[in-house]
Amino acid sequence: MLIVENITKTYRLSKKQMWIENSNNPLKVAANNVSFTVKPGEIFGLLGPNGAGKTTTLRCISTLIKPDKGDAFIELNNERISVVNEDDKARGKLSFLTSELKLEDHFTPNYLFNFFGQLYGLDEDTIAKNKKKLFDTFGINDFAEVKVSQMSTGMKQKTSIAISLVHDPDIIIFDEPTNGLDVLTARTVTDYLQELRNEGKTIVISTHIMSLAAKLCDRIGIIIDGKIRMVGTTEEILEETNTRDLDDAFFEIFKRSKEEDGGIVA
Amino acid sequence: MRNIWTIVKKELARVFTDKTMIFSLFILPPLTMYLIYGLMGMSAKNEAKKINAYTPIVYVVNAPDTFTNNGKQVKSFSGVVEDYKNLMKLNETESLVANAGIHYINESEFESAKTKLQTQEIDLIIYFPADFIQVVKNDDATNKPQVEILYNIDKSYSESTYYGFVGVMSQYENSIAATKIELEKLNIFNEKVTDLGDTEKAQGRFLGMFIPMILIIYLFTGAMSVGMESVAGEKERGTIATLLVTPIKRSELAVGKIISISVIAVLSSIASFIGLVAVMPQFNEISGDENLFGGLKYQISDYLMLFGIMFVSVLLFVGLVVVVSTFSKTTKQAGALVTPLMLIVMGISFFNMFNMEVSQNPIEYLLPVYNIVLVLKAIFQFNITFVNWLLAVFSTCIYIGLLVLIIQRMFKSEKIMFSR
Repeated sequence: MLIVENITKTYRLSKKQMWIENSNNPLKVAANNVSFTVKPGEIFGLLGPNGAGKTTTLRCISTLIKPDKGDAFIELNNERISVVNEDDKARGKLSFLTSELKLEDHFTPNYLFNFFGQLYGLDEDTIAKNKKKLFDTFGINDFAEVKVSQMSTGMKQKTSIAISLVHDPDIIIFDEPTNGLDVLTARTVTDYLQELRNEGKTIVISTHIMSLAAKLCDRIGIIIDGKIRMVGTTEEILEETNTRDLDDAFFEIFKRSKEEDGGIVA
Repeated sequence: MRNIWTIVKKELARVFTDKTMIFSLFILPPLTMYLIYGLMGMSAKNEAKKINAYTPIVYVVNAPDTFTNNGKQVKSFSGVVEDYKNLMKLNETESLVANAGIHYINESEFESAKTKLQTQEIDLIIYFPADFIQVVKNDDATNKPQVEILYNIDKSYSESTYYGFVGVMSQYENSIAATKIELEKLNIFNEKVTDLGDTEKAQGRFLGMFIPMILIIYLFTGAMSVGMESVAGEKERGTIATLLVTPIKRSELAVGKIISISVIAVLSSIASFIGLVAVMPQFNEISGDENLFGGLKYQISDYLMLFGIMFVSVLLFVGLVVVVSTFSKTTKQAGALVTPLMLIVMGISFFNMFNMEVSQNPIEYLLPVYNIVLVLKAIFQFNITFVNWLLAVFSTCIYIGLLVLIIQRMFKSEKIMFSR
């Protein structure tokens, strides 16, 4: 289980960034008291527009950055691991995939899979077993010996996903997993995420694509301007907002959040 | 430990499976070194050859014939020149005089000879006044004959020909002086000159001047070429973040990086060193000392101390470069930031280049980078003490440790690792 408690992260903006954001405030609260819980066998979707704080929240959970306040806990086999205080240990239990994480151009999927497997402390047999399963699933065998520099975007994304899952983690955090992928590759990814859910993994994805969230996620947390505005199943959100689809629901929540914050809805 | 080894293996594989990197790190530096110093040596050698093969043309105006002074016979000038030439040939001394083509002319041709010298057709004119013998015979201290020597600085070897003929003129002057007094009487005492200095040290002083500088530049550039790219390049390409989400400790990643870059930098330095050794005979030509390297006998302890200081130097330079590389957002920025660092390191090694005496002050052996220059210099000059060497190595190890701590902290800083 993944428990996110009051994660807050503030960035100091440079003058250029302040100008781009049209703000006089040098501080930007990217994540503001973000809390949610994800159970094993569940896909939780963090849904929000660009710059809402999705990636910041996921980066805090995956230990890449430290929150100013709050923490996230991984609960496994009666053990509770704090991502803030036991970051090395937490990293061994989770997988984080984001477009910012790239693979070295010079190496092949085969080499990189073995390399990351070793960094996760896996023995050769486990690496080979996991490699077979993931390479078969994503059809990587065809280009297992091709250098990353010579691969297409889809091939790279498939390889990145396979490598992020090298250690068969219990907690899977994917930031915009289908971004930039063609329909077929995107389908492979979403199908595999469902398979992982069925295996009992705890999964968090972020997306700004409503249809993907509606189709894939068991529960959705709508995040706007760093704050979680609503959490629930698609049905619960539609009921709460009195709308017929997630697009309308999202816009309704967006409107409410702006009213709450004293802003103007465009 | 296992994670460190995994990182080291990956970093080494990155370099050793890339032909461009192998060429730029291990082949290009020794090749350029061999070519640069080889060409320098070759040009020095060629110059020496050219001088030896050169036949200067010398015009002698009014060359005095043989004459008698105070009842003693004075040899003709041409006779003295021939004797001198034969002496040169006998002693196998390479001299422009031995090869010189000498033309004896009279007063009327002096002006045209001067024109020839100006137009660089000839190399030297020795002009004796027409009444040279008479004036010598008059033996008037207030009226000495004026012998003119004319050369043209614009013509290659004209000046060298003049210097060659200074010996001939002196010989001729002595032969005339011998008719006035007994030359033997002028020899009041005999001199015996002995050089009690150590020839090896004198030769070592020459090596101590420029070898530390060359070594430091090569060690630093070896560290720079790999180190700069290793962290900044990975940050730029987003591959370091992929490593940072694995359970590997930041310290393991930092140490793994430093070790692998050091291994590559050491290998690159060894390649450069081979280039240096291969080209060493050329230094004889450049320095003009034929036995510069043949005569030097360094002890095993000297070599061990040299290896020791070079080893810690590489680690120190790698540490410095990795700090800069980690701080930088892109390889380009790392390149811009590492240049002043390289200039400082080079400046320190240049600063000491012309300092002939190597300091024995222990405090100076604690100063970072400067202590490396001092130790290298002292080793080559046979002036190293074990205590000073130990001080330099030990203090450098402390600096390396501090750099590792700094790098670890930097790897933990999200501001440094994820800044855009």
